[in-house]
Amino acid sequence: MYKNKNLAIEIENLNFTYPDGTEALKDVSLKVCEGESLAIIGPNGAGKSTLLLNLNGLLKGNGSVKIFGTEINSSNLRDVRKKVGLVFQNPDDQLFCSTVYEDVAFGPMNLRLKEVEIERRVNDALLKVEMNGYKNHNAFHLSYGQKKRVAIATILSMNPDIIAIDEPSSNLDHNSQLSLARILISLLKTKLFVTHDIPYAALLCDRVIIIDSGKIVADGLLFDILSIPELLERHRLGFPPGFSIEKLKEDKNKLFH
Amino acid sequence: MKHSFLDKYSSLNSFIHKLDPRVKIITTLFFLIVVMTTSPIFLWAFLIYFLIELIILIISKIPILFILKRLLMLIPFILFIVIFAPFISKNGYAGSYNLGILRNLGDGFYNINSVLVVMNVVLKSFLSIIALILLSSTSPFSQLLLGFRKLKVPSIFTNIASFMYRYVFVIVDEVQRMVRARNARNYRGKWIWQSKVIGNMIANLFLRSYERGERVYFAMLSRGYDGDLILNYKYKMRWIDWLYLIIFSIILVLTMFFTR
Repeated sequence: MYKNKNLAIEIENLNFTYPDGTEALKDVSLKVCEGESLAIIGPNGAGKSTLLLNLNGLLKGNGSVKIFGTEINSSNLRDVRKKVGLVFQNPDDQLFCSTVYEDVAFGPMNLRLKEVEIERRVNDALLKVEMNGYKNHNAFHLSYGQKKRVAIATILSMNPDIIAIDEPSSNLDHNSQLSLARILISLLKTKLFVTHDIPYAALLCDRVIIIDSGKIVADGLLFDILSIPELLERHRLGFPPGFSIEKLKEDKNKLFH
Repeated sequence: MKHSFLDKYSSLNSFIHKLDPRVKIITTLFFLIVVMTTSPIFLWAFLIYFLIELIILIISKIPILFILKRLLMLIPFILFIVIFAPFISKNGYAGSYNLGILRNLGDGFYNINSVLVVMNVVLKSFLSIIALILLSSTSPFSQLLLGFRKLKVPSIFTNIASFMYRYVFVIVDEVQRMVRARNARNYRGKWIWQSKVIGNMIANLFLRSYERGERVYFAMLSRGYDGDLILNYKYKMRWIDWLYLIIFSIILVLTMFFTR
């Protein structure tokens, strides 16, 4: 299945235990191809976010995490973080500068790029998330949906090959969710989304893995997995009332046409 | 929730606003030192200091009402000095207190020494605070910090100030949400046992801030942070900056010379 494509992420037997003894990841193995978009779903506290933090060396568990074939170690963190962009769940954690411009420029500045290049990247990134009119605004005074989009721009400006977003749809109203989905679909990168919003995952991804209690319990094509209601139920997942696979497929078609 | 900016008028467009923040930092510090070291008997010198501030205020187009409102915060501090003024001994040096209030009262409620102390504190504190308000409302906060950074202030101080500026409203919001959630459950703060709740809230706020700090740090590391905030400084020293710096310094040096 993976032979002819470049592997973007290759995780083998990853275990992670928090200092307080919580085993967040147990023997996780996962392969993600370049250009794939993958939804990581699971109930609260399943270890989804911990998995993301392991992808660019913020947390280091036992086992190997390879990004484009190179194993993460303390000497190549800089390169890994250039390749893997993480967007955190709460945009107030992601946006810490006094203006939107400074926040989006923060990554490129740390890459020690030239000023002209930084400006170009900031403009590009803000244009992609449709926030180019807000350069000199204070991030705190934006709406939640706008903050979320700026948070994504702060990662886009670093031009990563892999972009991983924690809970892209949380706290967003319907329209903001849809406009964000359009933006996310238009990004041609390897994409990972951590969520427990199944309809949203269905809009964005073709492949899904389910994590529960630190283990990957299912991995496959999204609509295949969603059509096993017992599997979803066993892991405290399910469709919101009124949703069905048919409706999801219909919604997805609408978004693309 | 919406809050006003700390540096509300910092994006106005005036001669003072266009000056390099470094010039403003240096002149403000110089001004503060000169004001602090002027003896309170030279009243005319304080008039000059006030005129300097008034001129800057007028050029920079900052509303006077804004400055007056900010000055209100000084009143509690000054009030204490005034209350304790009668206790200041007649013959001692400034700052020495005398509990024998009755002996002091015999010479009239306020002796000349205590009047000098009060005047000293009131004049100097008002002049200094006005100077600092002018500094912080004539440059955008981030550029002001960069100015400090360019003047070789260690990055740890400017970073802390920059995070404070970014997160103070987030924390205020968090407190407001906690207070609301508390009041919604019939908290009235009338009973002693309810005071425990305040302690819990403070502890809770500390934990939340601590955890947020950790998450922010992760977000920074993810974007290649390696210990120094690199930001671009928009200002350059032009001839007009030098001119302002020199004229300002000459005035201060002259008043210093005549008040010694």
